[in-house]
Amino acid sequence: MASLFLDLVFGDVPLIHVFTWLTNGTVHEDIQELLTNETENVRYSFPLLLANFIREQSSCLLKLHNVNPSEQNIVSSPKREIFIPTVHNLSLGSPSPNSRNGGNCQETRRIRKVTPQRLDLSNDSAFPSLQQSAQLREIPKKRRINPTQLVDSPVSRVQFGSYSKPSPPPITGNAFNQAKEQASPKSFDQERALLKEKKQQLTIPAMPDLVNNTSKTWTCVEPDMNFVTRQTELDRLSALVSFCVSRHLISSLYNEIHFLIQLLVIRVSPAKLKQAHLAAGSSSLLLGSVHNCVYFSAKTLETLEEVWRHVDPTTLQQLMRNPRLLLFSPEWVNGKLTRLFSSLKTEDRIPPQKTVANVAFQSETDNRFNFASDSSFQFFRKQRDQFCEVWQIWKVNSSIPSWNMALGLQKMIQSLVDLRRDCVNYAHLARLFRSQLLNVAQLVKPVNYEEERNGPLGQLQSSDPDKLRRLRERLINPPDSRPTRCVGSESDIKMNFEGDQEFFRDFILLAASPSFNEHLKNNLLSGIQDLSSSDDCDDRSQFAENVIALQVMAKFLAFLHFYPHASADHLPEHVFHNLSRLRMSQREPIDLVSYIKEAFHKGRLVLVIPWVVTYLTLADPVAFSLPGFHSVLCHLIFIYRKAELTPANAFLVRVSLSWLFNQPNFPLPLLAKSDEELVVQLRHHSLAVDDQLPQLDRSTHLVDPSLIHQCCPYLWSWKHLLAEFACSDAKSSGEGKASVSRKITPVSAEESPSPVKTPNVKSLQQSLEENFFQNQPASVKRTVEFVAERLASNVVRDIRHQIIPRLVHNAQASLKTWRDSFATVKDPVESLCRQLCLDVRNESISSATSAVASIESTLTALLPNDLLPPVQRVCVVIASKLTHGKVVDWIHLHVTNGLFKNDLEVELAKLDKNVNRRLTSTPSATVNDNLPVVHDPATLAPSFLIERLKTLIRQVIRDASKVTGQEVAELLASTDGTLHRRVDVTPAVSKCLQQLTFDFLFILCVFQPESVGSQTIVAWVEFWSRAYPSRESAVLLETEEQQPPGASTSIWQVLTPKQLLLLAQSTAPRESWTLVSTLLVQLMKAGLIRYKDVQEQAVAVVRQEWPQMNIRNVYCCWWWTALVAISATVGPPLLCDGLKVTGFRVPSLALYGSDVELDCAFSAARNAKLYSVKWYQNHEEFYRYMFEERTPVTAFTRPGINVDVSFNIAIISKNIE
Amino acid sequence: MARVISKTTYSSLLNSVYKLPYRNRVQTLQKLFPQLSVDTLKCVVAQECQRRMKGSHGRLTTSEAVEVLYKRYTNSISMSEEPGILLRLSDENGLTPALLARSIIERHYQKSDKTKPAKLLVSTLMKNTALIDDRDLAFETYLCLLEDDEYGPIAEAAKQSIGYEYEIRLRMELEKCRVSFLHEEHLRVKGYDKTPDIKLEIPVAVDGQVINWIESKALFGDEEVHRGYLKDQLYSYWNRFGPGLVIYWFGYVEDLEKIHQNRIILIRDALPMNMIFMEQNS
Repeated sequence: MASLFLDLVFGDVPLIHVFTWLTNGTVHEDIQELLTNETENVRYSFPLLLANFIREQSSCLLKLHNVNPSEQNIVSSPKREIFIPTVHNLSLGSPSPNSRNGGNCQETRRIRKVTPQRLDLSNDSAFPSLQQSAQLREIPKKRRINPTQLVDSPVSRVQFGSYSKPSPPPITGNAFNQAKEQASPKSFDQERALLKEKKQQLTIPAMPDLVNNTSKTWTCVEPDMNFVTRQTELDRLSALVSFCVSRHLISSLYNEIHFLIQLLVIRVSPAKLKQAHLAAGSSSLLLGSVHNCVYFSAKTLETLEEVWRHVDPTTLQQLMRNPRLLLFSPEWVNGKLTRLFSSLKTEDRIPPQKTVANVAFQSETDNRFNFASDSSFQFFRKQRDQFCEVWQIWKVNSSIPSWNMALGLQKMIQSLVDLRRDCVNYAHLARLFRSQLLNVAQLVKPVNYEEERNGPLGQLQSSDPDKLRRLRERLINPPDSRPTRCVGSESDIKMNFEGDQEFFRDFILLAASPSFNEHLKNNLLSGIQDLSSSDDCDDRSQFAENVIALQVMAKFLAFLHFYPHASADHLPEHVFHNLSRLRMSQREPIDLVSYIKEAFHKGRLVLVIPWVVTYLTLADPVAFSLPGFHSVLCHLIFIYRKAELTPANAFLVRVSLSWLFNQPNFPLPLLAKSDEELVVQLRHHSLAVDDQLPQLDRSTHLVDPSLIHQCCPYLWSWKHLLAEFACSDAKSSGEGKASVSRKITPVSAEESPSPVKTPNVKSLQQSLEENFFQNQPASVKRTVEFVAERLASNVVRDIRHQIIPRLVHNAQASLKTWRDSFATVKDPVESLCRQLCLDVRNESISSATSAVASIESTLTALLPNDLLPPVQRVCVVIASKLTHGKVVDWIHLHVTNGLFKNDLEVELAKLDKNVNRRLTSTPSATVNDNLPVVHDPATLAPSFLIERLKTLIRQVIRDASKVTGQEVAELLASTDGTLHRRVDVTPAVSKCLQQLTFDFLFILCVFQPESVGSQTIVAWVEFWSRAYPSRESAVLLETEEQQPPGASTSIWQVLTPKQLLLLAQSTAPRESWTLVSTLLVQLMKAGLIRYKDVQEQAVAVVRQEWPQMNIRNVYCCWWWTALVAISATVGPPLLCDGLKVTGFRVPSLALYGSDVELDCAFSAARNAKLYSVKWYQNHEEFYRYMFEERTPVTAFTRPGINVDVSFNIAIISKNIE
Repeated sequence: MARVISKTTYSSLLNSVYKLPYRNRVQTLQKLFPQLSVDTLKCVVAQECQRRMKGSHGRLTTSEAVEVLYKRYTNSISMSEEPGILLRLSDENGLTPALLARSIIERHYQKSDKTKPAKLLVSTLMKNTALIDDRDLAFETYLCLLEDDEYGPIAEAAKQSIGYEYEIRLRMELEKCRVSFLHEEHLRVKGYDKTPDIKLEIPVAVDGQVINWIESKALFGDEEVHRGYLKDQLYSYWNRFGPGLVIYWFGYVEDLEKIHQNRIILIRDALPMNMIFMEQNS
């Protein structure tokens, strides 16, 4: 095979014939004989073989480039390994520790490392190589001395090799001269000494041991135009390669350029070269010398204009300032490349300035109605907060080396994920997870070029990239302990996640919840589905956001799908075979082929291919061998070869794909297949490419270098190669992971609204409608659907928040009347529900109808202007129909009897409860209920008033400070103001004020009767009855039920032990007693206090023992009499209108053991029928007279009471023991 | 009168609070720290008291401890001591008057099997002391309630009220500034899971920061209080609505915002008047 290339290159066959052959298979007679020995298929494997041929030619030289294997661990990126797939074994003398596949792969990132010292910023010797390096030409030629600097000369490092300096003329080599010019004069002596030493070395032919002896001295072959041999052959080879690359025949675009750059920057020490020459005699190879390599590379790179247009400015800059390129193709570098560079800079994409870093709460998707139950909702609230908390903790701690995520967060994560094992919660959590992921994953950005260059770090970058790299490395991974944040060992997980994405990966691993994973998978799938078909891609930043979001989602989907199959080991053949047989029928979670096909037809490859590639690169080796994958890969190869896109788009797609083709697991034979063999059915599917849709692939403004680099972070390796070269041992691997971050809010991926349910049979009308939209611009359909959807949603909201609450309220009211009127309906709730349901449906329909009226104006404004009026009318009709349909659907789904049942039952229960509690019900909060209150800020704040009253009461009791009548009146006025003219009075406060004012007045009556007049009491009682009206209905509904003791909790407690104790402390008892009596009478008159309560209180008082207060006892008894007298005069009318107690006689004191006569005289209205008269002692009834009974008198025997019964007059004899 | 206090002032203020006897600390502090507003001092004292009670309430109200207290109380009653027995006991023991009274009532109403009475009964009695069947206990309890500024139904009503008053005040001030917002009740109706006092429907900017919600707190914000709110409320709001503003009407300790790390939640002691609104003219 190699002979074919040798013949081609060394022969004189016009290359144009080869090109035609490669393009369409026509074999020109000139090349016929070359191909005689080859198989049919050679046309397709030709590019692959060509690539191998070049590698073979340069292999022995590249081998030498790898100088210091021990350094390679540091040098090679820890994140990514690059393999060159080769048919032939290109294994190295010193196998890279990273190449897992043994000899099959070649570590390409081979950097010349000088000193194996530990990186230490504080140590000057950490930056030695440049200063100490010297360069030699090849031995037989004239040597050039490179000036050197002393090891310990710390000066001028900043300017050293600065890119901003114009490149030195080629004859003096490179930037190293700068060092000399800039060097501090102090070090000149030392430099001279070193120079002398150098000179000595140079006079002697360089020997291998020389390199070894002066281990800190560097020599390498500097390419020179004059030493290029076989220039014509190289030119032919270069033409072949560039043709293959530019015509997409070589399927590994990324890799080829990487390789070419590698050739460009090759550095070989003459000593080694000499050794190698002796050993292999490689001088016969076409690319056997550094000069040839560089020449070939420069020539080829020059022709790849297309590529350079799309790389980022830094890479271009590196390329422009590469001294070798400048030397070998100066006109290209100074001409086109410079122009390209300057044109690129202006086009730099401005990152969207987003400052929102959290996942916003969307009431449409996150509120209570999106959950099945209250508890589910409450649990998710906790889950949401915990998730955010975990994320914050991670963000704070992840950079701390000693912090272990598994230790710190595992428990929290597991508990939050499985807090409630319910599909609704899992689904919501998965949604939150995805939103947060998209939110932050987009923050991983490449270095912002401008910022980086202008800042202080940027200067360091240009002067000493290596130092910058080490600084970064030091910052990110402290030397001793790089935190193993991953759950498994580092090698276990081959799936690379950068920056914040690590959190999400580890979250999934730590949560270890299959249910969550399943939901997350579904969520990601639907997200990919939505975004892939999303239409909002016209905007550049929107498009970039979508591409990146898709990539991230695909990455995590792949992670979830492939993680179980990942293995850290190389699988032996039979194990591999077994595994692949097991997974033969495994179904992929996502139908990639159909996505690719659809994208191809709709011209959206540029959106779809990047995420498909991301997904596939995470696939495990076994997966690639599965039949399901085969077709996917064939499609991708086909697209690589044939897809027609605008240049930038094509570059993005091809670079992504070539990265995929470079994956170590990729089945290489596929690449050599012919177009026909790929059996791709893209063309046959449907040729009618929908021209209505925006053809993303055709647009020229969507993709720019910064997006390309964001999507394909591996492109940075090109720049790294160049940068390494520029600074000998520098390697800025840190650049890919920028510290500069940019925030992008995620596109909220809502479920696409379910279409209106339609009957299965397609009516003619429907197909008419379909056709109507088919022939209209796609935007028309979208607009109509959108308007209908929004309108329906508004109507539904209106129904939910206005109509239903109103009708339910009415129904609840009617429930009350039903209760009161003892309706005959057996199950009121059921019938009411039915009625309610009907009402709601009717009202909803009418509200929908009225909403539809506004459609016309809306649509006119939104639809394209050039639509014919009839078309617009049809749109309006369709939109109205859709709206109606949606509303009706909603109503049928949600407005059911069950919807109201709960409400009404609750109300019913409340009513029942109210009936039971009516005695205790204290009216409150009624203050603000009726009228809208106008807030008067001049009134006292409730809290202030409470404080004031409290202090006053305290002062009156404790300090006996005087309160004037004036003050009391003012207090009344301000309390009234606070209660009635403020909006910030809560029910509890109102109740508290009631209690406090009453206490205040009572205490004033007791302690300062002189400042209280009966007018004051009347005024206050009037105020209370206004502010706290007692419920008349409650009194009316009173039944004979027995109240549990202590249940009477009314505020108006005049006759309780405590109040009496207060009264007993009065200094002017008689006045106090009178006032309290007045208070009691007023309260009863106002209906605030009931006769029965007074009775109960009186009984309770009597029951108390008042041992130590003999003198007060008199008052007490006197007062008791007075009380009963009051009850006699005021009480009965409260109970019944027709009855009046006319006389009541009970002795205040009686002799122990004597008889007592109790007398109660009453007069009933003429028509009134009296039911009963009852006498009680301590709550216990002992005498009853029932007027309608045959034996009206019943006497209950109680210890100590004997009742003497006579007709119409009850005589009670009470024997006091 | 300053309401925003530097860390050093706050720690010296707290030191004085610790040293002073429980009763009437605010008046004394007013003399010591004339530059601080009375509300702030009251709040600091109240918060110290609550913190103290949180720490010692459990220890002071074990059944054994209450038994001892009750014995002392009944003894004093039988000795016909002057009213204010429970107040004196409270000063001595460290429990605030209302909490002490509550324990005594619980003990007084304990059932025959020595279990505690129903909570509802006890709170009813606390609310309306007239219902307590023992006249001396009723009066003593009443005196306690009048004296206690942190616990007991009266103090609680006042505290609850003050929170609500400031919420209303905030709403009114916002309305005056023509800021459109939803308040808590609206949000609850809409089914939000976490409801700040104010959610701005159109965000405004304060001192260069965008705010989306406002929380009103009628108390003094020190680090402990603030951390508590951050955990329970403010971070939850941040998680849902983004950056916001919390107003500690009675002041706060300086530099409190530092503990938020990268989450922006502004702290002020009043509604900032330098709000920048979104431009509404198209």
